[in-house]
Formats: sequence, structure tokens, C-alpha cells
Amino acid sequence: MSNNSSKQVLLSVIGVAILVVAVVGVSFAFFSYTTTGETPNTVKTGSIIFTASTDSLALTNVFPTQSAYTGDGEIATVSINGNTTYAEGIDFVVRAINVANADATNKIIPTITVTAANVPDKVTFTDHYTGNTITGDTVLCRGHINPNQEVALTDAITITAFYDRTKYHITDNTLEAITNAGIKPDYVTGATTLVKPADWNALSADGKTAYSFKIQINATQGTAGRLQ
Amino acid sequence: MENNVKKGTISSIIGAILIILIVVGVTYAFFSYTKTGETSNQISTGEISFQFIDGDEINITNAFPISTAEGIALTGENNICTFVIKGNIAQGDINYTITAIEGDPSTDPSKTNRFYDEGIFMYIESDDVEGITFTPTEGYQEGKAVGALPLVLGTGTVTARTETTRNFTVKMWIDDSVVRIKDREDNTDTTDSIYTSDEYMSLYYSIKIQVEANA
Repeated sequence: MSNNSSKQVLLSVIGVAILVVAVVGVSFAFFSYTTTGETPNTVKTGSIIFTASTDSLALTNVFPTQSAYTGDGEIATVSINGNTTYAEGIDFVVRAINVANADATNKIIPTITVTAANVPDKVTFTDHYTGNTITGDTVLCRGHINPNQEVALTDAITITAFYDRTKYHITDNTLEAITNAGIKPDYVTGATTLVKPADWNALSADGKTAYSFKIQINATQGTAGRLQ
Repeated sequence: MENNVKKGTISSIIGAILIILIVVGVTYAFFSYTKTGETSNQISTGEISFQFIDGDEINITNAFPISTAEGIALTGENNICTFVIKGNIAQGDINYTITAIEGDPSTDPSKTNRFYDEGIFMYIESDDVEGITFTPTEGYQEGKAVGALPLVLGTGTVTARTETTRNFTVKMWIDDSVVRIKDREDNTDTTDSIYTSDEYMSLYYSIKIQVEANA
């Protein structure tokens, strides 16, 4: 009985196998050809590197002055490193970004000046910010690094901030009163902002910050239409 | 007893032979006719041929992400892969498939990491030839991410009765709609298609074109 079952199973398997071979056999191609191209097609990436670092300024005990500060810790600097094999080089932008300052209710915006070291043939600086008072996010400088030129510029860009005496005057008097009193200093102009001493003092009282900003550097691959 | 059996067997064989001789002999003797047709019935093999002829290859060594339109517009030496399919079949069709398969591993010590498949786009185009049809896989006539290898770029059929050729061009690039090179202090994005500068410069991608034909 067991032997008969085994034989039946065996015969069934053989039958199915013959059937499969018969069907597939009919489907087999009479011609087949396969080949593969000998040389591989390859894409290898290029290189684009850009890094930047900043040193920030920290001004304390500030009053309106005639010129910007230049001492240690009184200027912000940007150092740049870059190198690329990209044909259009690297474009970069340096911006001053306002920081939300909850401390100061009456912020007084300083004058920012930007100077950039000129490094011929490798880096081009454009759009230097030239001393207008910043509002919002302000482009301080644009630059471009040429392709295949290794750039390592320490303190390539210098940024200063100060309250310009020609723009700010600390007094309890009105500009009219000052003028009428005949004591109008030559640096006082019609565009002068008068700040009461109490308000000036309150700007930085109890550890508050009168104004703060951050420096942001963005770099992208160069474009053919970039500013030079 | 044993002898009788042998005799019987021999007698049976002899009898059978006699019967055959009588029947066949009578047939031959009764009527005989021989005729050879004038036209021969011939079987000759049909002509079939299929060839893949390799042409230019892609060898881009300083690749940066570009747009799909720029990728499709690539031309010139080292930027495009070209090949030809040549074939004919006397009767019936030859069906063929063009596939991009994994190429060779990099031997460049500065390019040791294989590119992410979704960041590589491919495109295939072909001239229009009577006798060899071609249908690109959907999307690869407009440029599309490889996705994964092997990748069937298209299929076609040779119906030509005389030898016919069809030209093909394949393009491959890093597409800027997907790939970003991004360095930033607060970068926490670890998406496969976003590379740092250091990661990006170590990448390569390699494919070969394979053609398979059946009839």
C-alpha cells in the first residue's frame, strides 16, 4: 500500500517535470546573444571646499566716537579657506545678521564698516559695505575664489562697529535748543539722533546689550554671471 | 523435452521468415514503380545576425551637480556613451534589451565610495530607424534617477530583413535636484543625497551597458 503511494507520487512528479520541460522547452529562444560594453562609464566627483571662521568684537563702555575702534577685541574678523576644481570657482557672501535683542527696548544701531584684504588672482572682494547704518540683514561683502586656487586667508575681512558722533548726540536738549544756544558743535547735523542721557545709560544697564549682530558667511558654487 | 522446445523455436523462426519473404517477394514481383520528383524539396537555414558595437564611453572626472536640462544637453568626448546595434533576421523578430549594470569598482584611491543610486540620473536617446524599433523605459527619455542597478534602459525589436544599424547615446550625471553638498555648523540632515565637502570628493559611479537579444 505504502509502496503504491510512493510510486504514485514519484510518477506524478516525473509527469509534472516532463510537462514543465515540454512547455518551457517550447518557449526557449532558438537564438540568444548577450554582450557587455568593455569600457565602464564612470563619473567621478570634483572637489569643493570652503570653510570660514569669525572672531567677534566685544565693545563695552561705548560712547559716540569720531572713528571706529581698532584695538584687540574691538574688531570682528573673518578668515576664509577654500579650494575647488569647479570651473566657476566659489562665490561667498558675508552678512551682518541682526540678533533679536530682548534686553534693549530702544536699540541704537551702530555704523558698520568693512574692509577686505586684497589677494590678487585668487580672491576677489566686491560690494564692500561702506559705512551705512545697517538695518535688518545686511550684505557686508561678497567674494569669489578662483578655481584650482588654494586660499587660506586669516583675518581676510575686518568689520568694525561704532556709534558715529555725527549721527548720535547725548543730551536732554532738543536739537533746536542746542542750535539756538549757539553751542552747536560742528559734528551736529540735521540727521543727528538725540538720545537722552537716561536712555543712553539704560541701553546697557544691568548687563544689557545695546546692540548685537552676528556675522554669517554663505558660500555657493560660482556662477558665470557672478559679480566680479 | 529440451530438444523438442529448441526444435519448435527454430521452426517458428523459419516459418516467420518464410512468411515475410513470401509477402514481400510477392509485392515486389507484383508491381514495381519508381519516380523521382523533378523539383527538390530544400531546407536552408535563415540568416540571423545581431551585433552590439561599443563606441565612446563616459569618463567624467570633475563632476558637480547639474540640472536635468544640463545633463541631457551634455555632449562631447568623455561626456556621453555611444553604441550601435546592428542586426537582421530573415524571418521573425529579434527582441533585445539594453541594461545598465554595475561597472568596475574604483581603482582611484581618492574615489573610494560609490555614489548613491538616487543621485545619478541617466538618459537614453536613439535615432529612428526602420527595421529596428526601440522603446525607452519610462522616464529615461527625459532623464531620471537610476534608482538601482541593473537598470533596464529600454527594449526593442529587430525586424529588418537586411542588415540595419541603430545608434544609441546614453548620458549620466549627478542631478542637482537631488544632490546637495552642504557644510554648515548646524547640519543635522543625514539624507543620503546630502554630502559634506569631504564626503562628496570621495565619490564615484560606474556602469556598463549590457545588451541581451533573443529570437
